[in-house]
Order: sequence, then C-alpha cells, then structure tokens
Amino acid sequence: MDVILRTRNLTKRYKEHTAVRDVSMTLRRGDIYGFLGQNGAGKTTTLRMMLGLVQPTSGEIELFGNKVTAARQIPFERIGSIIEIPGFYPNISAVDNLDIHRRLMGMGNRDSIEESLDAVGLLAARNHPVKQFSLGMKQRLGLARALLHRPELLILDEPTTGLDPQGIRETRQLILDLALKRKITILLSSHILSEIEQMATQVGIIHRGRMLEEVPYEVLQEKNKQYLEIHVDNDRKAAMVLEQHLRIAAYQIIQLGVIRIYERIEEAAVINQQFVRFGLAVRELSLKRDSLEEYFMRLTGGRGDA
Amino acid sequence: MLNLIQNENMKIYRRPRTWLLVAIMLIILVVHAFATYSMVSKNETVNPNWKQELIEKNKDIQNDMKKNAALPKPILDQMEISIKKNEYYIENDIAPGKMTQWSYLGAATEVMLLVTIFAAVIAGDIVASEFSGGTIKLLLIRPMSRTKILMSKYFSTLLFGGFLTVILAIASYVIGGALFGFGGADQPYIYVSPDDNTVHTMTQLKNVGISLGLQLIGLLMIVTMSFMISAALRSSTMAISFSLVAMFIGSNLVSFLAKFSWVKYILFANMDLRRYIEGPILVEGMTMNFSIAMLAVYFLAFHFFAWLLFTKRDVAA
Repeated sequence: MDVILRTRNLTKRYKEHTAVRDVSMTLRRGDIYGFLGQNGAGKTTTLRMMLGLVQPTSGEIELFGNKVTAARQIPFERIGSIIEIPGFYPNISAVDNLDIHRRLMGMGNRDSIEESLDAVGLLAARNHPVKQFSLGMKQRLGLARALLHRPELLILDEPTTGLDPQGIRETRQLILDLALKRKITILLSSHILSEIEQMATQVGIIHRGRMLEEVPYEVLQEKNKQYLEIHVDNDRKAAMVLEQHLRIAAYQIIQLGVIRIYERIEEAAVINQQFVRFGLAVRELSLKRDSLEEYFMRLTGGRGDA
Repeated sequence: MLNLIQNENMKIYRRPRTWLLVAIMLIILVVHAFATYSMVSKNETVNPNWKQELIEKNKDIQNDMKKNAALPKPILDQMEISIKKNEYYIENDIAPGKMTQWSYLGAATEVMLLVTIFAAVIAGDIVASEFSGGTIKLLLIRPMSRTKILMSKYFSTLLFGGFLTVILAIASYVIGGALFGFGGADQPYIYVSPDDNTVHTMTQLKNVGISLGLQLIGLLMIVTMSFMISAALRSSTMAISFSLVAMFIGSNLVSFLAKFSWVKYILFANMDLRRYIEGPILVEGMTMNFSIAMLAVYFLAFHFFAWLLFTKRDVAA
C-alpha cells in the first residue's frame, strides 16, 4: 500500500517547552487515522507542521512520497483540511466563502461548490451569510470547503468540537462515507477516544508531545478484549491447573492471587469447577473488560476528557 | 493574482463598515464645503475695506513675530509667507478669499486626509483581521505563495484608496460647482516660493493637480505604514492607532524638533513635499530630492518588514 503521509522524528521546540518531540507516523492510502491525545498534547502543532503553518524545529515530513522542507513544496491541491474551528468571512454567503476558496485553489469551474454544499447538507442555506450559521453548520461548511477541490488526503483537527451528539453522529457518518465512497485518506485528531471508535483503522496516541503508540485499531481492541479475573489463594497452583488440565495458555498473573484469563472465558463454570477440584479456594470470579477509554486514560495517565 | 485581488475586494466591499466610511467621507465633504461657503460669503459682504484690513493683519503678524522670536523657525517662516502673500494681494488689487469652483477644489484636497485615514483603517485591518478571524490558515494552506497573498492585499488596499479618491473628486467637483459656479480653473493661485522668497502664481488647475498628487503620496506612505504594522504585529488596533498618531502628531512634532538636524531623517519631516513648493523648509538644506529619496527608503523598508514578518513567521492563530 502506498504511503500518503509520513513523519520522521518531527519536533517543534519553543523557548520554554517542547510541544512535539520525535513524532513519527505513517498514513497509508485509505487509512482513517485517529490521532489521539489530550488537549495540549501536541496534536494541533503536529497537524500545523504538516500544513506548513508552523516550521518544524527538526524532523521530516513526507507527503505523497515526496519530502517536504518548505511550505511551498506542500501539494495543497491534494490536501483538504480543517484546523481547529474553521474560519469564515462572516458577511459573505456560504457560496461566496467557498468561491473565495475556489479562486485560492486556482480552480476553474464552480460546479463543485454546489456539489460539496450538497454533500454536507447545506444546499438550502447556501446564500445566507455565514454569520447566521450555527457552530454545527460552520463545521459542516468547513468540511465542504475542505472537500471542494477533491483532495486525496483530508486532515481534520477535532472536527466534532462543539457539536451536539446528533451533530457528532452526522459528522462521523459523513466522514465514513467520504472514506468509503471517495476513497479519501483521513487523518483525524481528537481528545476523546470514543469519537474515533468504530471509525479509525489506525490509531496514534500522543501524550506530552511524544507518540506513545501507533497501531492498527484491531490491535488496540485486541489489547482490551474481555477476560476472566479470578482471585484464588494459590496462584501458582492455579496456573498449573490452567495449563495442564484446561490447556489454557493465554493468562496472566497480574498480582499475588489475581489471574486474568483471556481464552475460553465463556467457560467460567468449568474453570471454577476444576479449581475447586484441585482444592483451590476461589474468592471471586468475574468477567471484565477494559474500555478503550480506560486504556487510553491509563496510557496517558490522566482523565481522557481533560 | 487577479483572483486573489478579486477575493480581497469581495471581503472589503461586502462589509457594511466600508460603506459607512464612504458615507462619513461624503458627509464631512459636504460640511466642509458649506463651512467654506459661509466663511467666504461673510468676507465678501462684511468687508469692503479689505486692503486696510490686510495692512492691519500684517502689522499684527509682525508684532507677533517680534514677541515670539523664540518659536521654531518653520513657524516664523510661515508667518513671513502670510505677510508676503497679503502684500501681493494689496499691490495687485486682488481681493483674497473670493472662491471659485477650482479654488474650492484646492481646499477640498484637504479632505484627502480623511481618505488617507480610511485607507489606513482598511490597510490596518486587512492582514490582522485574517488572524483575529481565524481565516489566515485558509489563505496559507493553499497553493498560492504567501508573497502573492500579501501583495494582493496591498493592491486591494490601494484600490480602495483610489476608489475613495475618485468618489471624493467627483463629489467635490459637483458640490464646488453648485456652490461657487462652475469654472475658475485658469485663475491664478498665489504662493511664495522658498527658492527666491518672492510671490509666484500658477493656475488653480495646476495647484489642484499638485495638491492631489502630494496627498496621494502621503496616502501611499501612511497606508504602507499601516499595512506593515498590520502584517508585522497582526493587530489592527495598533496599525490604525499608530497611523492616526503619525498623521496628526508627526508633522507638528517635527516642526518643534526642527532645530535638530537629525529630524530630517524622520519620516514625517519628509512627508509634506509641499514645503518645497510653498515653503517653509523644515531644516536648512533639505531638498525635494532628499525627501523623495527618504520616502523611497521608508517605503521599501515598510514593504521589506511586512514581507519578512508575514512570510517567515509561524501561524498559531
């Protein structure tokens, strides 16, 4: 699969602090990449560097296979983006705001304006000045603008900020549609994991400027699958029983007397029966599951919605 | 580039504020015209003995000059120029203050100061507002270079200045004609040349042309300064207030500092090129060519700083 975007050891240092430190990430064609991190973790700065708005202190950015060292080398006509809350000219209508963008992109025909307004459901409001738009409408108009020139890569910074649950659902559906129908590669940042759940194919977690983890979404899910947690009086003996009599290898003694079992979890009764047969005192047996949110919080050592 | 200028124009002329500025300019022009008209008509009716009055006036000025000999030289020079002009009126039997359409137009070029202020307001806003409105990112994540974007904004500002100037010219021509009767372009305009310290005349038409040209040079400098501050400091408040202070305090300030020869390197000491036609010269030895060279240096410096700070800095807005 071809690499659409790659960074190597991307770093941005300011006088007092380092906002982004050695961030390396890879987006392949068709990825929906969830870029996760708390507020202030360095997400926006990283995205700004990719778009040439902020000059990296060190490190490399590669877009569509070409190294980018200056803003003018960035193939902007292949990239659509929304960085933070999209800005518009308030006295100018939705159509004309997009028309300004069309001229900036050097595009000839105006058909795509109506098309992209239609795609985000704003066709009816197209002649209203943007100052009359709600925040949700502005987010959608921002998306329409980002899509106007039919980009191959879409960079969206917190696209659901300030939206109500209905708006969040709609935006998510819209993004999924774009990825599936138009085969656009999408880089999506968020500070709330649940926003990218059921959407992302690839996840990168950034914390205090560092990339903690970059894995396919399934791997992340794998780490968080269900398990049986059993409290017994003798964990060594219990381990022996698991391996030799139940043929279970996927288990972990996480602390003294506490075992987590990751396979045959539906056979809790059988496991319990065997333990009792070998004279183990089972104090507690429960089926548990870490939510991704908990995992994310554990990883970043704080509240996920900070 | 044309596309970019079209975008900028759309942003300027779709704002109600822009049209408010146009309206304010027209209102002030009308007020100025009627004020001029009422002053002139009073002079004509009340004062048949204008010669006697001018002689008195000259005596007063001479006394003032004796009493206030410590005033800065350019101010004393200005008084001397008034005396010379009055003497010329008496000798040649020309009643001063008799207005025609064209002598009114000469006075109306002062309303160009307002055009300069309003163009400076637009200039001060045109870059800074993109930062405060969060739209700057949209301009910069496009295939157009930052240099081109900056240039399109500058040209759009100048176009706005030109637009106001044209409106002012047409409006004052009509108002002047209505109040004072059309004509008078070939009437003499009286001034004292600093080259030989004697009274000269030129046609009113030529005077209006020169005045307008000089005002446009002033406009260009102030607008460029405001634009530079807007692009460099990204604050429209700073850009607009700096320009206003510069316009109103700058020229007085340099008059009072005229005894120091380094004053001639200050922008405001060079802004008023009319000094080389009608005096008074601010600092001994300053010439029109010197001032034009200084203006060119400032002009290029403003552009250089605007460009440097706009194209090189990170955008965190």
